[in-house]
Amino acid sequence: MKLYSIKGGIKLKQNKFADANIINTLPVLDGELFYYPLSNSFCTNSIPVVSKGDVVKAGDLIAKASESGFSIDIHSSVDGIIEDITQIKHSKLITTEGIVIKASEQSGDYTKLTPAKDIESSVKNAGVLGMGGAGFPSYIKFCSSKSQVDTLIINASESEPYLTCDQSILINKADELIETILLIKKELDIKRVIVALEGNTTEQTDKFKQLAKDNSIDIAELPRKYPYSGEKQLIYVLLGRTVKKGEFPSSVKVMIQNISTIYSIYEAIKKSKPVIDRVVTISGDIPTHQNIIVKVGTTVRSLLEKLNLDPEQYNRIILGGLMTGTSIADLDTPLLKTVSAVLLLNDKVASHDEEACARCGRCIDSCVMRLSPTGINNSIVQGDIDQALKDDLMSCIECGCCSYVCISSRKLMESIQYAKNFLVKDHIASLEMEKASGGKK
Amino acid sequence: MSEFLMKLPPHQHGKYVMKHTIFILAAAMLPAVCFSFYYYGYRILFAYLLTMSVCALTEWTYDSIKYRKDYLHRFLEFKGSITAAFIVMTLPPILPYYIYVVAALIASLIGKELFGGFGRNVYNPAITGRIAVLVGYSSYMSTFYLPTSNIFENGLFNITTVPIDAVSMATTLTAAKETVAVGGTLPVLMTETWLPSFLGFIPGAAGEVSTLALLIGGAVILITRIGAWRIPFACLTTFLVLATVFWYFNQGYILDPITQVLSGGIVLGALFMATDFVTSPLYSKGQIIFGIGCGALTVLIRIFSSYPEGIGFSILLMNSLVPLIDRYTKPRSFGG
Repeated sequence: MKLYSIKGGIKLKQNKFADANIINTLPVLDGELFYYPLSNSFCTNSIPVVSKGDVVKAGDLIAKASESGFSIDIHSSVDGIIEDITQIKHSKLITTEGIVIKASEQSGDYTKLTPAKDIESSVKNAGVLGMGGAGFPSYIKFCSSKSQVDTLIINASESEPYLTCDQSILINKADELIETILLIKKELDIKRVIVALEGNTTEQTDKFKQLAKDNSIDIAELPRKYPYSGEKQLIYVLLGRTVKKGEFPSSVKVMIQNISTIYSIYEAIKKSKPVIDRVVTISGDIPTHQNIIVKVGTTVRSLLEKLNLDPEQYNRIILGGLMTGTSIADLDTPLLKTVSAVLLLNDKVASHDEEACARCGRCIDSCVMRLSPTGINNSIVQGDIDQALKDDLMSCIECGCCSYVCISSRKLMESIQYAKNFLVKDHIASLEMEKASGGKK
Repeated sequence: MSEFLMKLPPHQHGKYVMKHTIFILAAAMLPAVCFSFYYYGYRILFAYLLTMSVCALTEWTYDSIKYRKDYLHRFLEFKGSITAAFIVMTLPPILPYYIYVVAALIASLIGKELFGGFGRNVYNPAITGRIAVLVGYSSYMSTFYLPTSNIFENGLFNITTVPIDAVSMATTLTAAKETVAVGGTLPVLMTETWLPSFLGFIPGAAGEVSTLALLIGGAVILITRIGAWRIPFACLTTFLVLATVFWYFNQGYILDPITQVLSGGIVLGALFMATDFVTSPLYSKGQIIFGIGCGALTVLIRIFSSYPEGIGFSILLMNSLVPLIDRYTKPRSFGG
């Protein structure tokens, strides 16, 4: 298959230690606490439908999607009792409102979802999110792409180091994945399906490739470069279509789904199972690397206890990949639907001071969005948000390449993230204030 | 409870940092430095060491006083040594040592530190230092020597005085200017000077005589992508095209383009000075504009001004335009 080339990107050390052939399951203990935040960084708060002291079963709805904005249903992943609805830890938001469940004896079964008429509503009822990490509610993609989409892209390339969870699903659940892909293809009347794999994949994926071939699904092998698996980049590399600034893939007639998301959709449709667990890669500087099915809401502390890992031995714990994940300070942070990996690292972190930008241009060369990270960083440091917005600050996909390659150790991506999350809102608010006060005069 | 390190993503950093850049730059300069050592002897080696120490010490002292902080690690990165080596390379080979000190002080203090240090300077510090002494000590600056021997033949261990076996001689460019000024004419093609000019056996500034050595070093800079290839490409192309046009219509009064490229500092300037990442444009379109500007101005200065050489002036002039160029050549974002 012909691939379009794209400027930028970096080569990373792969470190894919975790064996993708085997998926283990993490047991649930009596009395273990599970945490369910009501929001993530993308969605607005869901509304709790349970109260303190209620008895819930695995798969029961505990919080309903709110009507406004992007929001999702949340289900209990264990049998237990609602311990509290209070402020809990969150890897990205630090603290947020959430539901705490105390596990009781497990029946091993789950409450089935009520059968829905189409994929969109079963995806909605199951609370499926983009499992790649962004956490975009999946039903919205179905909703916005009805009969407008001609190509479905399945993103099965994990370009971040250490991660093999998507590959493990690809190897172990090939039949289920193909079945789901064909279902979506039929329902949305999609002409072409492309599965994007990472280049030089192992022979274990041959089964999937063969199945795909039999069902006339295209396979594209991407070069091993980070971040080719970004949404807009992937669409361009595979199809040569450019998603305009601020628009969704549906604007170029493409629907793009992560392979883990496809598996969740399979469980929602075929097993009527809401998203209550997911495959997580446990890796880093630890003796045994593995892929393991973890119940949503499990805390990092109990995960490590069950795996006999001593957190004292490590100096960094990262949820997600090395390039985009979040480092956590509190072991009581729960693993959510979007967390694809837990990395325990024990390395010396070189504390480089930020030096003045030497204008070497390596960040510009590495940027897949063709931005000028150093220019935007300068504007942010000088407090000129207007100029940063003009330089397309909001287009940044936060892949982290610029900070990775900077020879002056400047915190480029960090500053851009900060500006996107906080400064831009303040800036817009102050502009509106100015306008309002000017109007009165 | 153990303390975990909190850091914003990305959680890893590339292995390649500033000191590697400095190291590769130094390696790229090595052929030209070695050639000058072979040609002019230990005297020029001493000049390199002297200028490097002055540059490094100036920067260290300035930083320590200004920021009240010991910047030993900055000192150890030897950023100043690149500037220092460039100064010696662009100056005539045999000079009183105090001129090197003056040039180094001006380069690191006025050219670099007063702007805020490495990375914030607008003008190429080495050229700033060179131009300052060129204007200030113009009599020394026009005297070039052609050694009649190399270090292997009678080792120039004497580092204090002008070696007696060197012949004072004008550079090709100066000689041509003088010939035309007194009403003489030049040969249409100076084919006999091409090979010695390419190898470097001609009078000229210490580091810029050997085009061959400079090309080797320049290749290192461009292959490792420390300097943008567009700048020397645009600069040399413009230079050659314009020089050919002027030469074609004024044969006998202007040196032929090949001799023009091989003599003087155009190759050193285009490959090493104009590609200095701190003072050159960030974006590809801007780099081409910058290169064209450098090449065109050099031809114009060589032909129409009283100075025989103009690459230094043209790079400095284009340096001052870099913020403007950067402002208008920003590329459009992906999908923007």
